[in-house]
Amino acid sequence: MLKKISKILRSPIKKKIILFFRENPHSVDSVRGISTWLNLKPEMVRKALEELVKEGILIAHRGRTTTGYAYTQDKNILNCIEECLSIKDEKRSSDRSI
Amino acid sequence: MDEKKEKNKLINRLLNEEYLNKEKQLFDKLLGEETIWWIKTKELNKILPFKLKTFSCPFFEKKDCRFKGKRIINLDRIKKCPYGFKIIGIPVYLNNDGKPFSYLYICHFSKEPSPLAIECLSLSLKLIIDKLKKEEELKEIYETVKPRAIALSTVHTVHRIIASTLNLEELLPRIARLCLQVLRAQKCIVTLVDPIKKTIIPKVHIDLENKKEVNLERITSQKLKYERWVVNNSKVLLKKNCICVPLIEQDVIGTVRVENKENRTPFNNADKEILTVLGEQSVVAIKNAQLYEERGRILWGSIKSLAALLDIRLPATYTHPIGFVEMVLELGKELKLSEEEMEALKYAALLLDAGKISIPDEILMKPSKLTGKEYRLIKEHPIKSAEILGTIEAMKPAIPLIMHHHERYDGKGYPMGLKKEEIPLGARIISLVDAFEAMICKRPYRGRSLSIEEAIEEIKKSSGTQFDPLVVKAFLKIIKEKRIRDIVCRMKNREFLDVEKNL
Repeated sequence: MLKKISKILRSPIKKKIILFFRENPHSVDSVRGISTWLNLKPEMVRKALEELVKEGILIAHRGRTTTGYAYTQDKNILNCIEECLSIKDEKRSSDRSI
Repeated sequence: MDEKKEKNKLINRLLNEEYLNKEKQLFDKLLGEETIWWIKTKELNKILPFKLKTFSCPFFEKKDCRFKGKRIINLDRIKKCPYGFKIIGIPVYLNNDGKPFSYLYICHFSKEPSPLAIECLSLSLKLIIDKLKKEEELKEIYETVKPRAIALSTVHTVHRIIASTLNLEELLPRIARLCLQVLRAQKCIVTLVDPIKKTIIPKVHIDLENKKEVNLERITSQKLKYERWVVNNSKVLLKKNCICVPLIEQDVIGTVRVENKENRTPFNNADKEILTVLGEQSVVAIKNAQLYEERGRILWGSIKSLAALLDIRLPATYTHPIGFVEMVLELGKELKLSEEEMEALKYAALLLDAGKISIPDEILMKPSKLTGKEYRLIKEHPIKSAEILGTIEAMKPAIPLIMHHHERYDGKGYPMGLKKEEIPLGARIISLVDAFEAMICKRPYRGRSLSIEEAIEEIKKSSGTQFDPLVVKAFLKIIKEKRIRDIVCRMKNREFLDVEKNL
């Protein structure tokens, strides 16, 4: 799981989306909403969101006309994301000190 | 924000401000390349050196230029630098809304600056500070507004998701999941109040911690003590590990309770407000769904009454047994028809032959072969059915299914000779079940009915000609199930009973 999430975080759009939901875990938002907050093109965001849903990182609440995307509540996945992000942060700060 | 913090923030931003760097580079040309710029922070009672990356300060490095005393500096005139003996410096006020909050101190210059240059510096510093303040204000507004805008967007999205279904069975779990999501809670119970029995009925219970399907029957009334309190008092109940809100529409129609926050922190007033908003949205959606269900029940009751009336006139001629409707709906489900399509299918399946009322009984009951004229009359019955039922607004989506249920996939059917996908899918489904029923049940014009297996073989043979291969495939798949066989038996038996009755 850790490897998978680490790979996902290499995609800048997916990383931005994950960081958005990490910062706003209460949010349930549509493609349009998320692309507005992240200042990204809706088509790109839609694709990334659906892929993140498949990976279990996001949950899709599907209505007839709208799909609301939200952050997973699976503790294992949440812990893995935190771990991956902290590893990245550590790596960045050690690179900087070098 | 308090004044001290505001000043510190402004000073910190000033120290990192790119324009100040540029300003320094510019003034270095006027004052000499080795000037040191200091910014005074009153709160710390010391002066911070404003060091530039490109600037080297020999005095500073040699520790010759160091703050030692706590002398009060007269800012009204050029003074001696407090960090080195005999060194002259220029203090320049840093103003915030016309009030000096600090000053910039320039020392170690080789050329004495003109008063005009100092005035210019003072003015450009004012512009930089104004710019920083504006940026800070904008940042603050953004930081305050953004989370609210995100929350508002969440409320809007949740509203759209909740409002997009009128099916109560689908709606209530959806409400529970969204409440869990927005509150980041682990458990949610949604209940509805039975207005007649005055009891609280648990409808959904989701427990993310145990990841188990919770049996609603296991939720005893003891476990609903919070709900009882909320219903009796029409008030929100806020506890450390749970919030329970009433769903109020004149009276309390139900409750939503969430438990255990994901991060184990206690629920607070903000959570209470959020759940209250979600509850208010849910009430509207639940009420709409209940009204829609009620409308559906009334409509279905009316259609059944109409079918019963037709049945009294000539049993098993204008209507089909309930097993027929069940079979049609099972096929619709297998072919993943939408909720609306399923409803249209249900109404169409029960009354599709209502138009036969316009055909004389002797033709309908004729045991021998029909004449050309008689057959033409028979072929008109889908149009007649559509005409009769088309006046009922709620039947409108069912009309195309009724109109075309005698079309054939190869285009040789009636009344319009449509083929393949020109025929509505619902009509293609009804066509197959209608033919299957005709084969397994006795008909006045046919001596013997086929066995179920024989009828299945006939359906297979007609795939791609009379019937849509897709529908045949779905039929062959579900017909193997015991549950479907029971429906088929009900269909067949009803026909026997009717025949018996006729005799």
